[in-house]
Amino acid sequence: MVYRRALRLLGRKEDAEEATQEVFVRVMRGLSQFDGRSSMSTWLYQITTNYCLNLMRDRGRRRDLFAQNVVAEDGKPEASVAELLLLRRLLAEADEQQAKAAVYVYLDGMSHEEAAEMLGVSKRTVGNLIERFLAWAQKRSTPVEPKK
Amino acid sequence: MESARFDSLRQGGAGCPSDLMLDRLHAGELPQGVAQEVKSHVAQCAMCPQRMAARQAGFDAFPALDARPLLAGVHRRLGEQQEDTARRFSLGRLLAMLTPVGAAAAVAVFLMVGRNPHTQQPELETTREKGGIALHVFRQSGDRVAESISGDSFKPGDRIRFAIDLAKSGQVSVLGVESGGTLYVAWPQGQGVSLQYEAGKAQALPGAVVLDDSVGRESLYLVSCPQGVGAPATVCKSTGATTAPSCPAECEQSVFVLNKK
Repeated sequence: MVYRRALRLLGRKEDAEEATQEVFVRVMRGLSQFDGRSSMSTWLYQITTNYCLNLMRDRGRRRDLFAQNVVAEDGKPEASVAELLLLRRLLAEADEQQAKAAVYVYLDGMSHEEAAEMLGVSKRTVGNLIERFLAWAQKRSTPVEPKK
Repeated sequence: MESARFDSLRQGGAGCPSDLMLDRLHAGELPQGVAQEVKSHVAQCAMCPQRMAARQAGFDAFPALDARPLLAGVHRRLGEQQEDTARRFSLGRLLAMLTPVGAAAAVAVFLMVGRNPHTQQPELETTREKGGIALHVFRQSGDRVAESISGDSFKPGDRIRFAIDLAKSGQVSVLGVESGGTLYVAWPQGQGVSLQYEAGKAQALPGAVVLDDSVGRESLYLVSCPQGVGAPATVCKSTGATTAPSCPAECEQSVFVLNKK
């Protein structure tokens, strides 16, 4: 579960392996804080998402823009691969809470209700986060008109 | 950018369960009614059976991935960063938890143990000196790889792999002593395998070992002998079913007990 999600988010096998190891270690460290109110899978999703988004941000800052990372998308149409690369790039720069919402909704296919549980917010807030993420993404991908 | 642009990225169709839902189904975390609904969907869906199969395959769903170094890396990091915690909680239990099957049971164990600071922790790993020689045994069972603890029950046909901790470099072998006292080489099982290992933790030994049909208590001894002394298989002799093999004084040993049922 952890490796699969990390690979999808990060794209590179090496990064996914590193992420899996780190998540295992964090789980070990945080076991005493796991209160059992959410499921173990939910907790693992949250830890994996946080770790991978941080890594993507670091990588984004280094301007390593994921061009090579298209593994684990066998059978997906080319357009989807391009969208995945675009989404990864955007996630590296987006507002943290919006990025998490986008991961849960678009990559994990969660309903707004499920994503709300993951984020600890209301369903309506998830809708707002996704709306704001898309509006921001729209701006990011609109070419700037040259000044006349 | 169209607002629905990223909708095609999700696995499965618009009406399919999310990845989390399938992971929770696989982990046995869903309430019965919900689990039944999801199972019914999967049974009728064109895409979801493949998604479920990937979960059931575990690491095997990624042919390019060798899980052994990954798991050894976890072990190493835990050893480096949290020696005490790593001793209290077996990595095997953690792996069982992180691989979906049996997660709920593992959680229950952790919660029971973790919530009461006065609870006596069972000794889950073979006791060993920090920085000493140690043999770790990992059992593959279906899609799961879990570290076993000395004294665990095994079945004939179980596939096991070894990882070792060494305080100093040496020629290593894993020698087995059967319940009848016969000494055999459990690792390596082929020709041309290098026996020389440097000091270090969680070093994976290549190749899996399949347990034979004999039942009863068997002991595995990781033996490390300095270069020049000779390979453990040639310099160690059996001293009986319940005692360690006799090896030159320069060699070090660590024992692991299998109960084959």
